[in-house]
Amino acid sequence: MELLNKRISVCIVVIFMLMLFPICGDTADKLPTIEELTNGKVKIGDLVDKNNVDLVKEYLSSGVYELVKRGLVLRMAKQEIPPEKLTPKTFQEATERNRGKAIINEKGVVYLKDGSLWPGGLPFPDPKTGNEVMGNVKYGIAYSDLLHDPNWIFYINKKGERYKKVGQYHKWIITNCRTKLPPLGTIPGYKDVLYKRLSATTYPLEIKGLGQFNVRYYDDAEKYDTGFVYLPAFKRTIRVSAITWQDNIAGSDLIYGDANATLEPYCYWNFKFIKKTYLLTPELKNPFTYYDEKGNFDKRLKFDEGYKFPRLGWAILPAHIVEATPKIKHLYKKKLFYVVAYPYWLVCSDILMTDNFDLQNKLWRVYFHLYGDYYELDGETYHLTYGCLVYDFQSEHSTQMWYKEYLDRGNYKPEDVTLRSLLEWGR
Amino acid sequence: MKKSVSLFCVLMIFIMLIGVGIEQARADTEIWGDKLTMAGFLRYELAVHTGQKNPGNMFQNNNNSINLARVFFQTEWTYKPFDRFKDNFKLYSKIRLIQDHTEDIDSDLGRYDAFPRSAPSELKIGGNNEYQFEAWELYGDIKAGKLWLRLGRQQIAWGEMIAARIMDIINPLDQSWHFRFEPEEFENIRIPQWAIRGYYTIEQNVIPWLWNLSIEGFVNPGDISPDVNPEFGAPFNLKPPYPPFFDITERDRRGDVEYGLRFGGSIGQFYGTLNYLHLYTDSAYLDTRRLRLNIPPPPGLPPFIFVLDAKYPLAEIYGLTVNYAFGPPIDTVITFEGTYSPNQPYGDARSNFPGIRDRETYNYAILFTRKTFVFPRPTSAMMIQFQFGQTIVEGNQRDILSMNSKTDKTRETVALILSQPFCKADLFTPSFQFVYDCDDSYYIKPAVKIKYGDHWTANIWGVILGGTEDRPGRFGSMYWGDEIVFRVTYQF
Repeated sequence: MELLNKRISVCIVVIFMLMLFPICGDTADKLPTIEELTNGKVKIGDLVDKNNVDLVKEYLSSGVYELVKRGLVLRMAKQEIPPEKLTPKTFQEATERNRGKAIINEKGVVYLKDGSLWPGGLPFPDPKTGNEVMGNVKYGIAYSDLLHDPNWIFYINKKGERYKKVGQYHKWIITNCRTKLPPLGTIPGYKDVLYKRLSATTYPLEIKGLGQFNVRYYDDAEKYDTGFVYLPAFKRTIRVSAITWQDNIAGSDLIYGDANATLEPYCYWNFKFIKKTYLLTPELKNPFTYYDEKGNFDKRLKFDEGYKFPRLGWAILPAHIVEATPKIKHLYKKKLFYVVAYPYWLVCSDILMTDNFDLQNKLWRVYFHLYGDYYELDGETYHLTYGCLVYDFQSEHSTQMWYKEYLDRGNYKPEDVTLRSLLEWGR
Repeated sequence: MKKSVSLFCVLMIFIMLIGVGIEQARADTEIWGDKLTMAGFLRYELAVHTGQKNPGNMFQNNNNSINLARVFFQTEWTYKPFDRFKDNFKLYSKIRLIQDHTEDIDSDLGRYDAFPRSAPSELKIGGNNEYQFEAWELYGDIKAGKLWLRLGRQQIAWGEMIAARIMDIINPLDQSWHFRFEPEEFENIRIPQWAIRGYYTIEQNVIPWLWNLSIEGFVNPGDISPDVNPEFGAPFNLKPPYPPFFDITERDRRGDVEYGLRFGGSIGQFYGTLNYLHLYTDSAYLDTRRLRLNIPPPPGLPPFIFVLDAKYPLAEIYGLTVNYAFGPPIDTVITFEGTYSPNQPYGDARSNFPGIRDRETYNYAILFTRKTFVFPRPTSAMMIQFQFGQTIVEGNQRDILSMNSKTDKTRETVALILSQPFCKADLFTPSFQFVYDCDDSYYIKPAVKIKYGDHWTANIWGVILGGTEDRPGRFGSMYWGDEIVFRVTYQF
């Protein structure tokens, strides 16, 4: 009886501890709202701006906190989508089926323990290291193909004016780690390739038809990207280096290495796990569609400070913070990645946001994804990304990318993303 | 000049009207939903002549101060009639209206036809010596599985070299107005021709170690026209008219068939193509048919006439391109492009009369391309390109002539191209192009491009030519062509 009492006491203590530190346990059952986390000081529906931002400061990335100081207004929202609805069932099944089987090498490449390619699902549902968190980002791909069309890059000046835009079209086909569209796992003939992507310019006319075809290899430390570009002014496809990661994309605030939060091979970076936390992040399902298939904004979507900041709903999600420091000469001293934590893994864009620091270790650029679009496909809901916002604190200039995202809708074949695609899009 | 200003104003109003209430599909203006869309630009270009008087225009009294003054109104139309197949079928046309008023604003120039092109297959809607209204390109694209076809009047450019034409020789050039001095080099002067072009992507599994495998080919069923050169009296005219004792008959190749085939593929970071081209030359070669007595001869002329054919002989071309991208830290792409022709035509130097001789000829170039940060970041990377090119003629070069002058056994050129965007949105991009003929002649083109907002682009560039090598076709022979060019474009 005494032993039983002791066991019951231990259980009570453990349960009490778990209640006190819910972030340390499995967050699937109950994700707190910002209202709960602030003990009611901030309520769902409240607006957070520079006057009251300190109420939620501990749930903001340092970059977003600075943006609020500059005029970003956050509408407090609740993350109501159950985690099992955030990724296709086949991805979740693969995650559970392959749980515990993944290993990651020092260059950030994930394999099964027998050395074969990762077949799909999230490699490290409970990551312990920075490498494992980032390995999830690279190999935990929950979709099989991607289309962004239309895709607009807006250049926004200090005054908040959209003074220039560039139109693009993106198509990706994932050739490994496939869990949704057949062939699953690896597409025959593509065991070396992680994905192929096409990026074509649709506006302005001067560069319309400019296209880039890139191949990312499964082991990007062993094989660096292959790239070709079609130049409409020369009517020719030429070979280009696909590894000038630190160059600006069309003069925007995005560098190639910051696209999709990070595109640089992991072998250039050291990753250090900082902590797991709750983070306010753009809500995963909007009350209405902000941006339609024609590339038009819904008039109900408000912007603050001119067009600098779209007024979005922000809700709590669990996130891992990883500090990345470059191994090579770089324009950044470090980057902080805020990566969504399992089981709230997203179908796409799992790095919620990044803070990028200059060589003096001052916050330079912040990047965050704009979430909230969704559609139903094969009985599953796809929660999608609208794009991203990048803000440069040094120049007070920002870049917003808005696109209509389609995942697993194209059923693309590898032959759909080739050198020929450049000709098709070229003029 | 007044006419041009009026035209410019009318076109601006037209563009503004188009802009009222438009919707954009991807980027173009929707004319009929997303089935029919349009984009285009209005451009004014003025080339101020800073060189000496053109010796080719021997009857011109004074040096001209303007080389080119043109208004361009170009529209690009895309028609996708079938919603279900909109990614599989489209019709495209580039329609342009060009008005040239160079001779109107420079009284030192004589009268000349600013648009001397006249191939019967051209889709000319209207025009005279001062303006041209035409469908410059018109083609349909069809995609069916791994096969892609383009049928119609089109430009086909093979090869990868910038600032050199090694394999990009399928279409003839319209050199009548600005040679290759445009920022786009050949885009605006490559004359489209009617052709069928096909591209077939071969499945990855066929040869496991060979990637990006493809076959591409084209057939021009007979729409063969030569290069178009400036008329006598035009600012860029290269030579005086033929002497009056030349009786020349054009023997064009209209109706003959041109075709080409190439295979492409990657092995690791190598990518290459093997090419074959069956083409007729775009420049004429004079061949003497006979001498005809001309008695009594007119004053100052010999008592005979050369009866000549202007021929466009067949030149078969075998080509190879190979490129390799070095990884970090070299981060440089090396590109090789080379051709071999067993029957490249030249003028016959052994005969006293114009004739044609074949020679085996090799032509190749190696290009190094690197993007690197010259200025502190976040300034964009500078594009640096260095190219070496060589032409090698087999056999005794003293037997042949190139553009009526002696030919060297080898000819070498080097080129350096720099381009550096500055400011947000690449507002300001200076660039520099230097091409040096190792026999001592040069072509220098410093330039600045300013992109403001979504619509406006301004280009200013200079052309400097010179050197002691002044045989025809060499940069030194065009010492008189220096200019500063201003170009303003409004795109919509």
